[in-house]
Amino acid sequence: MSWLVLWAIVFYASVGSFALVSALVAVGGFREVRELFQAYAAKMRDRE
Amino acid sequence: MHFGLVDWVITLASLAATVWIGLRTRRYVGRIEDYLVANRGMGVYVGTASLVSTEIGIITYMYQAQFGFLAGFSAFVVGLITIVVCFAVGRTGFVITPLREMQVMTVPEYLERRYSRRVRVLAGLMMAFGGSLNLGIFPIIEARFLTITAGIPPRYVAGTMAVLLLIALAYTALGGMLSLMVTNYLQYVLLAAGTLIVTAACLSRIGWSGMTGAVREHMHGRGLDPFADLGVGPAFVLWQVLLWLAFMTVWQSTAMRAFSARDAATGRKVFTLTSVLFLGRAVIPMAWGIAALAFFAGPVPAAESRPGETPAAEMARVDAELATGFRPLLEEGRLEALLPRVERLEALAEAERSEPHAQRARALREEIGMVAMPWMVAGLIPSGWIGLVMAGMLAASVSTYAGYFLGWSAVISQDVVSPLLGRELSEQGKLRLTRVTIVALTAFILVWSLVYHVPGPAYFYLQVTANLFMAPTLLAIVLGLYWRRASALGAYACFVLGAAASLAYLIPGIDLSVGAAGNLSWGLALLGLVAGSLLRPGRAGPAAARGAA
Repeated sequence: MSWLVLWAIVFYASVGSFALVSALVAVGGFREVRELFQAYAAKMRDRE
Repeated sequence: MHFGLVDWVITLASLAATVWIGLRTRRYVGRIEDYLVANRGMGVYVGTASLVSTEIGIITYMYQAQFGFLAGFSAFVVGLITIVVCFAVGRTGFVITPLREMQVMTVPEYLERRYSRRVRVLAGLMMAFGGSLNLGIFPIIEARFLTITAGIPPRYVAGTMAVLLLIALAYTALGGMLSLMVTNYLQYVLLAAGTLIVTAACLSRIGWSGMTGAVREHMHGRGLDPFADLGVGPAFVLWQVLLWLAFMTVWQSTAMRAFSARDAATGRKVFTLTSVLFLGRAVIPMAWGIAALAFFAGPVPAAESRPGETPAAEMARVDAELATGFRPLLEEGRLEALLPRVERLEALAEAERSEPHAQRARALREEIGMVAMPWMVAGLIPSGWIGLVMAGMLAASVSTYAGYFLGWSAVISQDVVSPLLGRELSEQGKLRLTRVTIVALTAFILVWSLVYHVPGPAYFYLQVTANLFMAPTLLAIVLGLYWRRASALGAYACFVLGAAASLAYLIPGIDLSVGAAGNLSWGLALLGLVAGSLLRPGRAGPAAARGAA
């Protein structure tokens, strides 16, 4: 395998995986942020 | 230049939303543990977004693009090293799991438990010094990107820098890690969108074939084989493996994500997921740098000699032309006019074996490489889209400042100032001290950014300043965990020798390649730790080695 073929594979794999994992993080992260705020809000209520 | 009203509206709205969300989290922060590690409540996806957006800033895009512009596809080898090391750390929990289980908030905290308070302070000082030098060049480089892509006149560079820093300062100083995690999530979504827009534009307008053509035509046989190029030899590869291992485990802003995780398993999952994104973090902007080379060097013919002119006379003429005309053309973004002349100077210097001219040509190419990507983005992306790209880049930038402010100020306040005070501060006192440190750090990097000139590629400067403390820190932690005889004397020698070797690269007049300086730093740090520990061995039992207080 030539260097150029290797770098083409690396480049397209990095772009594809970046897009895919970013979508995963965007969806999963939204849920986690909501849970985080709910947990802090509950803690604030307990303090009061 | 396409940056219009709609682009400004998108950019400013995204910034305002980030600051508003960041400031709203302030009311939840009551204790130092809430502030520095978000009460250890971080999940996998928010953790990944937070880690990646902290470690991707405009600075990352700029130095990676410059590296791609200078080294071509050979630069991609760094991306491969990154994914392998990050994945391995995520799967094995190497260092991050024991540190997370000890519930430390900063890396040097372990060094006090294992060695002594003085080792903690020394490590904290080294980290604060290296970290501040590292962060110190971010604003000037990032401001260049912003002024070029948004069409702001160069005289406003300092002002742009100050505004960026103040935005990050505002919500980090008030909201700490919780604010960071929430804003980082939003910022990650924006920066990922911006990254994909620029990549799509590069592929549609320049294409993979245009990029490969530029490397073949303009890199004189280099740019494909990493083992034969630009100092990217076996020594460089070895150093990169060690450096990334340290970066994934003891770099404060990275380690803080592991410390903030719900549990050790969550921390490991964050690192595993991050490994995939870190491949893109390196390779994608490097490809932009190569695309920028194709964008500016592709359409113009090579500079030619005048009839009857000797090579030596031509070299002197081209050199003189560049001495007067380089700066104005660079500031106007007319890189297509500069590149052929710099290439000609390189060819003539090589033919005439003139090292001063070769060095000068190299320095000019490095300068072009630093601004080629933003000039390409300004010329390539249409209005509306460039507003989204700018929003993404600003998000990346502000999140990086915020993450680093928190990371380095935690080290300065918790590991240097607080132990030196010799008494335990109250929760409110610790919070106040950390916030004051963030403000002082902001002032320092603003000044450093204006007065310091980076030697060589920015990529190397950033890695050497990081290596300065990362090599000794990782060795002191690993041997502290797994070698009972490791002692405080060994740890002192490790930090002093490791830092000295890295600093040698930055001192003018010492001719040391970046790979040699990096490896020497690791070698001397290890030697110091082993020799010092054998000379005066430690008496740590298994519990102390695991950092039990």
